[in-house]
Amino acid sequence: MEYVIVERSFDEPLLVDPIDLAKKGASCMEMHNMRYLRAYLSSDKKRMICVFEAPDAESVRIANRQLNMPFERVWTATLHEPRE
Amino acid sequence: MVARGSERLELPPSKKTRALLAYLSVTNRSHRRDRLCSLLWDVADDPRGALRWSLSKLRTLVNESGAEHIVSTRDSVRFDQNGSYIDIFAIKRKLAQGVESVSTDELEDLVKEFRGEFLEGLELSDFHDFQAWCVAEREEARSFHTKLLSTLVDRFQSQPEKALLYARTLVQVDPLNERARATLVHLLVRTGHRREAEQQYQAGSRLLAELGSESTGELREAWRELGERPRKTASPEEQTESPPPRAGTQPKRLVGRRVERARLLAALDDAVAKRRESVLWVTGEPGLGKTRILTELAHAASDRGGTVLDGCAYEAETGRPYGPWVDALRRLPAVAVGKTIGSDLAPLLPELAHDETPENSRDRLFGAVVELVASRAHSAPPVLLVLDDIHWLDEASASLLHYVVRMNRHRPVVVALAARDGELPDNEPVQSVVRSLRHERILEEISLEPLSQDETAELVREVAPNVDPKPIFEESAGNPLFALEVARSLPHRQDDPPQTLTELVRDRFDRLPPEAGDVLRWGAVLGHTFSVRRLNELTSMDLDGLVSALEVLERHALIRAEQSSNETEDGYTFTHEVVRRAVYAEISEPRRRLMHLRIAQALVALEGADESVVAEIAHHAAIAGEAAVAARACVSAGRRCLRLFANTEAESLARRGMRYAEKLRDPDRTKLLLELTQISFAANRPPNPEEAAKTIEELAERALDHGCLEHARLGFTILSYLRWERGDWSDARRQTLRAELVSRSGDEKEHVVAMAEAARCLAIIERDLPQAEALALEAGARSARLGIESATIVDAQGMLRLHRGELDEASRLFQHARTLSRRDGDRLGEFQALEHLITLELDRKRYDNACALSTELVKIGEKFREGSEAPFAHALSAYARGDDEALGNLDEAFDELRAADAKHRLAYALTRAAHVDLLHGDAVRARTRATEAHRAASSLGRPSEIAMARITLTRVAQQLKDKEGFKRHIDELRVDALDGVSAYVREAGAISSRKRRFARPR
Repeated sequence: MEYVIVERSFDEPLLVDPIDLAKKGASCMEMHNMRYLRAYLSSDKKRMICVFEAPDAESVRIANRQLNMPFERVWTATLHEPRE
Repeated sequence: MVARGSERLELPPSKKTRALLAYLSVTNRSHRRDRLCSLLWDVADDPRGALRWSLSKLRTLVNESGAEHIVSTRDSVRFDQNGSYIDIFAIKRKLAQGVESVSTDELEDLVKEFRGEFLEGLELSDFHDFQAWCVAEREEARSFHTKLLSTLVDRFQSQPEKALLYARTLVQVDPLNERARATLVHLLVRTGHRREAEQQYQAGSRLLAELGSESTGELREAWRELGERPRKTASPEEQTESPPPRAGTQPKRLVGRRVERARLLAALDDAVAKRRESVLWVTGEPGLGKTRILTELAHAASDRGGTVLDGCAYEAETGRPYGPWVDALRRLPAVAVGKTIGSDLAPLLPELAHDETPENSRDRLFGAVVELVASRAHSAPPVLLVLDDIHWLDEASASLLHYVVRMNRHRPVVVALAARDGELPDNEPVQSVVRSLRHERILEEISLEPLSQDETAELVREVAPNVDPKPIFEESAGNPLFALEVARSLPHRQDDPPQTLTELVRDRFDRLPPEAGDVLRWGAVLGHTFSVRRLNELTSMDLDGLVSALEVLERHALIRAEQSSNETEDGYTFTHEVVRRAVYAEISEPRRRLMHLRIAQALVALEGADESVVAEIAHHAAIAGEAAVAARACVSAGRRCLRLFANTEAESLARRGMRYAEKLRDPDRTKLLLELTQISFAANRPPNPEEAAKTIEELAERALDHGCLEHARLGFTILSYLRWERGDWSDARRQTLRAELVSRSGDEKEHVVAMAEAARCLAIIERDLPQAEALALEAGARSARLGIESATIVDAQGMLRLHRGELDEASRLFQHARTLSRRDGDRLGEFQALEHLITLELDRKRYDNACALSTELVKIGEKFREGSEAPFAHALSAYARGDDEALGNLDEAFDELRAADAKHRLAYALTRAAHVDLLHGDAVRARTRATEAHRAASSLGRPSEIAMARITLTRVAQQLKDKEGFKRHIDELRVDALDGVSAYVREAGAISSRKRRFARPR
């Protein structure tokens, strides 16, 4: 499984909770074997980073298109955290 | 009745054979064999064989030298009337002249032809077409009868005693005819039978009230005209003119049967002493005492501290699978059934279900019954399993019986089965169990013969000590039930004594007080056993009156009290099925239908009833001709059968339900037909799926026309399962997906497109293809109604066709999807449709086409700033071109696909590149590429690409002469079953498997 990052931006501020939005596509995500991990929404609510766990980035692209969730870029990432 | 000269011939015991004779002779025309098969044997394994068997019995019966009445050819059968006399035709001919032109003497002769109901005892409620024909014929015969009787009543106005004779019969034949009853009341008063007149008035009023019929007021008017005031209904006790004769009681002791009884008891003792099972097969004609001797056996088993499980099959209960088993198992105390076994038995006995009841299966259920028998055989031997009247046993019960017998060979178990052997040929499943047990030589056959003269005398003395038994023996020919009925009838003998067992019972029934007679009729319509509570709901009597009436019937030995198996309510059972049939046959057809209707309505209104009640509703509603109630009940009963793994019964109920549903108006008709089809297909896959698919498609479309979306969806789901036999998603997940599709979509159009997208998505990831098909079908049908054409829908349909290997159709759909996407300016949609089209062309090895199309694909792909479209288009294009220059650029495309992390497209492109490598003799590079492709496809779990990569690796190993590698990949290919993969992969896999012999690679 990969970490897959989705970058989005909106013309108007996003007024709904992104997690609620994702819930509507639970079956679709399950189909693609992916999991919504977290989202970072900018203070002006016009930019967002979503983090998924998925077998590949393409699955995330397909699912997002199917769920009508616009995105600008989708890429696979590795996680690096500072040591304690 | 069939007679040759004055000799009355014995009819074949098989009901269907008798029904066939009636049908052939009364319809008086030629019938196709297949039509006759479907009329009477539509569930038999070999209906044509069953028809042949019945015809052979009929030839023996009616053919005589020089007069072949049964005339059959390879395809058709008819009854040749030449030289025969059929009473109904004689009546029809006479009445065709007009009843007024027939003399009174002739009319009286014609009335004598009616000796009971037309086609009496030939109800086959499971065979709708035959039943419908039979009811219509009866209706016509009844109309002749009433016409004759009412004409005679009119003509004998000046001779009231004579008119009374016909008026009484007329009321019996046509009980709801208020005018006829009013005339009877008049005549009774005129002839001085005031008490009977009042009884008739009361009975008529009660009947109208119970059956909810509209009164015309004629009866009340007649009563009023006579200046009478209705009194409070007298209790049946008051109305009984004399106390019931002692002959009404049942003999307490088993008379005769010494040899048979000894054999039964020996089987019981042997079972314990030798720890082995025995199967007793008790046969004999009705009334010879099969049930009586089994009761004796049950008492003996109880006396020995054993376990008794007993159940009885009933003709009207074939839609209640495992009915006799349920009754038998419920007789065990709850403590005898442990928690684990209880959970597994829960499908039969819902009261034993626990919260953690595991998922059930037929094997588990059967295993639990065997385990229960085994545990009782250990703790309370011997175990006696009694199944009575098994000629009516349902298929599911028969299978369970066979299983239990097979699995208990070395346990102290006695299985006692009783049947009328003559009726067994009508029940193929039971016959085959009996055949098999006989073949295995474990069936101990006990055929009951008539009693001797001395034994008959002994029996008769038990109930009527002062009568001369000799004439009784002669009349009954040693049949104990018959002998008892004759003994009971003696105190009331008239000049023209009844001739048959049924007539004897009917004669006794006619002498009952009216209330008791009514209760008995309700009982007969309810079934062999009936509860006081249900009677109380149906009759208009108060509880006291009802209980008194039941007591009268019990004293007359027509019914006996019986504790029901679930111990929840008091019930009664007819002392013999012959009694019930005689009473039932006496009820006129219209009254019977109304009574069945009342029962069906009362059962429908029951809340929280045992779910097995649905089979009863189906039975009563069907006879009542209430098509809607019957069809709905068949749906519920069919679903219940499926839950109980009783597929044969489920299919039979579905088929019956469809016949009722066909009579309804839309949308109910379509909705019910779809639900019933679902049951039928779940029970058994249709023999001709293509034809079935056509019908379902029409129904689903019709459901959409009527706005019944849920049912249209059901239709599409059924259709999809006809096309795809497998499905790996649970229903719950499907429901969630459906709900999400609705919640995501704004309007219907968006919803339809979302469905199609989900369908395409499932098709791409090769998961739950039946669901994908159902979604695509529904989206297609609904979009057509909305007047929209969506590329997504068409592309999804194309993907499904491609997967099934229907390449021409897939190609047409992809091209169309591409056109639609261009029209809508949907670049991604166009890319996908074109991509699918190119992969299809490559699979078909049409490289020139693929090459031309991929040039266009590259142009579209390059317009995407992000993602895998551009590199994949380049990879496809290179592969389609196949020249060195193009192939040289492949690595760059692969790098970009890796960067975009598009594993499926990467796997596809790598495998095809590896294929080219192999052709160029570069097996090492092919192996590297195919290995990476396999890894990528595996991480996504895409069956087709995984298999494709593996097939390529097999070829690589062959080229590298790597025996071990070859063997490993071939083995893996066997494990990676090729079932779920796309058609082109199956083909490639098949080619590969033909080359499995490593020693001779090409």
